Amino acid sequence: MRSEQEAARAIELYADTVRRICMLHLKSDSDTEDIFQTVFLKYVLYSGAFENEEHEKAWLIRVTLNACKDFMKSFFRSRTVPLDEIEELTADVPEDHSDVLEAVLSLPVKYKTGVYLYFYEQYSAVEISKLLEKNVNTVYTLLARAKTMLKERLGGEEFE
Amino acid sequence: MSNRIYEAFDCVSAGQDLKDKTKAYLFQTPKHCQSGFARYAAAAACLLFVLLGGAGYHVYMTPVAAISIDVNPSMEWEVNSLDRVVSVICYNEEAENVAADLHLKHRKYDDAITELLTSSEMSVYLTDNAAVSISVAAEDEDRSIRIQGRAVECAGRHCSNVSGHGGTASDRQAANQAGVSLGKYKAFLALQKLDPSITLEEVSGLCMCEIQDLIRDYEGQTAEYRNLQSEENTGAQENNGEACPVGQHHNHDPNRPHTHHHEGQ
Repeated sequence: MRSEQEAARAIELYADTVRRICMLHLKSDSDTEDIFQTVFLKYVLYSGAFENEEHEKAWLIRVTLNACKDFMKSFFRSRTVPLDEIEELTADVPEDHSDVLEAVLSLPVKYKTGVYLYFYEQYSAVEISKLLEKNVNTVYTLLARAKTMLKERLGGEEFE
Repeated sequence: MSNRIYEAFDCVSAGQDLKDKTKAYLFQTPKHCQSGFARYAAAAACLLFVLLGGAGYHVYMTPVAAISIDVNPSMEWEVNSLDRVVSVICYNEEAENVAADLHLKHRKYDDAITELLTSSEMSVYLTDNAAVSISVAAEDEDRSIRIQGRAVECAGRHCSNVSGHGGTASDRQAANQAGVSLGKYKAFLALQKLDPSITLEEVSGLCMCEIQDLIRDYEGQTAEYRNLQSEENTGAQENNGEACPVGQHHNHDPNRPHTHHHEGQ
């Protein structure tokens, strides 16, 4: 079991990452709070060693994705998020970025997770394939389709 | 595109409130500071719950009395200390047929008697003023008397020819060993007093009406014989006192009632 200091450090370092992944899957702040508690409790109870911060971050992303999936399954949540709820989720985001975020969040889960990991976390397709436990070619396909959808939704040229 | 997506996601962050709540959950909730004593107390409470449940089940399922109900169907119910029927033992095919369609177990014995005697399955055996014999055996005599009184009263609401009999645990054991119900065994004992040569095999196939008829026949003959003996004694006194021994008379009695096995009533 990890110490209070270690847990506090991990929360400060990775809370934003966990929060962003939660936003991709969940609809409310209380759901996000539940996932936060689950993820960091698993972190505290995990006795294995991390090779470095990158390894630690990848482990937390994997755990968060799994926790979100389990949560969605357990409550028979729908796989897509209604638009009005997306607007609520992005209410705190400045207006000039909210349309992009809303477009990403309106994608199916399998696309938006890849988009986040690729564009924000800057993982390669190979790394994403390991995190999502998918074939690399599948990841390429998902990313290509996601880009096409985003272009359609956000108006084209500027996304080239 | 990558820059815009990056900047959009970069605007999202976890609030301090969320971080604080998570920290509080991880380090201040009882499950992380639960003492050894609390764990032992919880385990002890669980154990106590299981033990109490087991003891309750044992008490519930332990019979403290047996009620034998005999018409032609012959069955015996074991009753627990809460007056509920915990097992139904059928001693003939008729009883099995009747009990198969009724829900007698786990009901209070008086409710079960009402269900039995008002059922359509039983009605075919309760025609022509059929005799209903209710025998009760229990270790506790007061309980036996109470159950017998209540059972007979309850049965009397549905049938006119109801008789109640008491018995002991040893009577019941002997009846069970002989493969008959307590009620039939008690009737056999009554009959055997009147005719020691009669066997349980002869009685076991009879319905209660037939057994009661036999008892009445024997009692009638005995009374008749006593009258005769009284007259003969008077005559013997007159003729120097020569009397006919009872045993001899009985052994040579050509009018001993025959036992018949009727298929139902």
